[in-house]
Amino acid sequence: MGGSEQQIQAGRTPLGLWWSQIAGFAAWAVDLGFSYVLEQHSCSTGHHYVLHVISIVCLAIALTGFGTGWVEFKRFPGTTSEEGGSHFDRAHFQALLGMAFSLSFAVMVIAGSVPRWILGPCE
Amino acid sequence: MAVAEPILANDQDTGQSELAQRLARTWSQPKGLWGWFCNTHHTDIGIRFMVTAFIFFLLGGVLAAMIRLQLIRPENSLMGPDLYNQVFTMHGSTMIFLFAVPMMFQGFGVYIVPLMCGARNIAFPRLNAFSYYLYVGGALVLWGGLLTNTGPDVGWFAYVPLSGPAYSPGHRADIWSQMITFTEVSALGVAICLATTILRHRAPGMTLNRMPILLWEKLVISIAVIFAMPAVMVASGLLLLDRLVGTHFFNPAEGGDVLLYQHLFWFFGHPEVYIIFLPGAAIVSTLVECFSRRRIFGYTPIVVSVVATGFIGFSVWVHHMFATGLPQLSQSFFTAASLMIVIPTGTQFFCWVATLWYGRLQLRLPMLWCLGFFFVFLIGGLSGVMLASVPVDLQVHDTYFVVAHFHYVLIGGALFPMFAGIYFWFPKMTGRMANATLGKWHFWLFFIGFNITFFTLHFLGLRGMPRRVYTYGPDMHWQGLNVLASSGVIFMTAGLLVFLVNVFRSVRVGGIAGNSPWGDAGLEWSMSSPPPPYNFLHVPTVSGRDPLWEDPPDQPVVVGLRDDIRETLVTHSLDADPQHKDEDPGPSIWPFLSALTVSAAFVGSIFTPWAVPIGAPPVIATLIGWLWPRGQSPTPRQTGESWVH
Repeated sequence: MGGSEQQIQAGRTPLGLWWSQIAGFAAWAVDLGFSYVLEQHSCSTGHHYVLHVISIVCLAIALTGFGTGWVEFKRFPGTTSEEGGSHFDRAHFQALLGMAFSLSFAVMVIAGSVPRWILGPCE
Repeated sequence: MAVAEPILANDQDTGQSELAQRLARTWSQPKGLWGWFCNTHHTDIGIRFMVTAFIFFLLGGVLAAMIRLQLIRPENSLMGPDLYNQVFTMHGSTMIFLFAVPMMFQGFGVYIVPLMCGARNIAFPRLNAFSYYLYVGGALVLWGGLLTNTGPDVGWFAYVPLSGPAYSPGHRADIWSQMITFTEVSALGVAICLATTILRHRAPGMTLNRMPILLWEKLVISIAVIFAMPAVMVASGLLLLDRLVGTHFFNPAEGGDVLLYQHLFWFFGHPEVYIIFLPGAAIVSTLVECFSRRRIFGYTPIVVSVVATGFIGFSVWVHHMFATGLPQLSQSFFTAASLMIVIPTGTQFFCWVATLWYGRLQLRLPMLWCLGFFFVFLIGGLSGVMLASVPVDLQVHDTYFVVAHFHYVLIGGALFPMFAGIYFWFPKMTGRMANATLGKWHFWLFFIGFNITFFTLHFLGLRGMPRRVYTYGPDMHWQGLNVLASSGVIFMTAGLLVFLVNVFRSVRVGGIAGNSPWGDAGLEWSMSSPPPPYNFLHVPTVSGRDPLWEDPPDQPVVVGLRDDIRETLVTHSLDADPQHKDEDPGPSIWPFLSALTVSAAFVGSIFTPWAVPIGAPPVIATLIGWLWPRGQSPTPRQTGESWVH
């Protein structure tokens, strides 16, 4: 039994599983916050690419959350289910949530980045 | 999977067994007036929250009727501008701060959550009682202001500079600011109690993936409250400092920033919408499952949606500020977020519809209110999508279109589920059934009246009628629609009167409810109605998401909790494994006394900053009394000893 499984058995959440659950939220919050704050800077310096870089980096962060969630998900035995009462069932559910959060917020990052290709920061 | 009837036998033979009698003695609350103030049990405090909030709902409704009466014809002289300003400010403040949150989040949450978790009381019961008294203190301060002609008159969000010292002399805006402090401290206290109860007092077996949707929603709301409320407390606190001490946080002439106030307010204000809506959604999820006689469709997508809604709700506040002149690209970020939040809400909607579609719908009275919610909230959601678009928002900004939208969202998202929840849990709270015929009259009168009033306001808004004006000229041609909108109030008032008659009548002569009149799956239906003071004879365990539908008759129960002291079980936050025992602190007068001293300090600080240092010693003294060690601790459990039997 690997370290991850032992952690789950002990009632804890492995790092990868944690990351899958928070990566999407963190990516989107960083994208929105930094874009909002750096808009004026981007306009005054002409460094419009900064806003695109933020989006791409944040999209990558969100997708790593999906990746780690998927890796954790594949580790569980085939008998685990979404609503069973064991530690692995709970972790299976957490992995599902993590993947869903990551993908959802990746979509949010993409949706938020669309106006940057159409509108300039100085408008 | 369709499930017909609950299969877990009820073992709460209240008053029959010796154990029940011992537990009843141990967990009973003191009697009389003194006992009323000492009571810390969650069912009593929860009902108090609901009854108090409902009284303020009725008072807020009276103010709404006054507004509609004033606007029924042009140049009406029923109210002058000063009184009108107080009335619409009091209406908004009462409905949001004294009714919607205390009823939907605090009242229902405090009553239902421990029962659904399988706990004998809420976590931190004294903090919970303290929160109730503080809420009442805030309500009395606000309404005391109106009755002494110092009612706030700056709108329910009290924007600066209007609410600042230059434009609002006197103490009207100060009263509003301190009411915020009262009610938000109260909400924070309850949020901590509910989050801790959900995370640490769930019945063994109720792992994270088996928590009822209602518990998920309450957990998300509690966390949202913990992050949202401090923002508005900071905003109102800084406003009070500007007014009382002479600081310049919101004074541009001295380097302050008026937009800072709006940012702080709406960072709270938009999550507040979800703090009001999600409890309604939680009730709908519970009722749709029960009356479809099948498990909720899409449990995991609903959980994802609820958590995502709670989070995204914090990132759309700027859409309330589109008219303040923010850069266009900034506006687009928040337009995108505001449009995207429709997805998780829509997901919940589709899951409810799918549950109804694949189930066997029983159109009982609470379900009728749920169907009303679907209709009304959908209209509010669609006009919300329109308002998320900057050009539309700018066109209808500060018109009655916005008023129509948020009444559809808030009344649809909170009031309809509230009545559904009241009719659903009324048998559990009182032991008697509410009259279904009167309940249907209540529904149809209210539903028709509501749509007459508020659908009409969309058109008034599109014709340019601004909010917060106390009258209008005959040349504006708004009278016809205003008469129509005001006529809906008659139906709504009649509906509410029928409801009150139904409640008072049913409490006395309603049919005996029994343990589980609806055949629902939640643990709260496994005990007698109303619940005994100890809630559960044995702390239960669960083996599925719908315990009363799925657990076998020989489902184990938790053993080893003492019956001579108020022992509770603390479980693991993720897996709900039993971890240790804790002792409920029991009834106490100190939460009430602490609330009194804190209220005195808050009220004093409306008039002078010296109230803070002068008021602090009594607060500290009552807190010392509250936290004084009791000298008794739960029995330690032996390693390896079994918890379940």
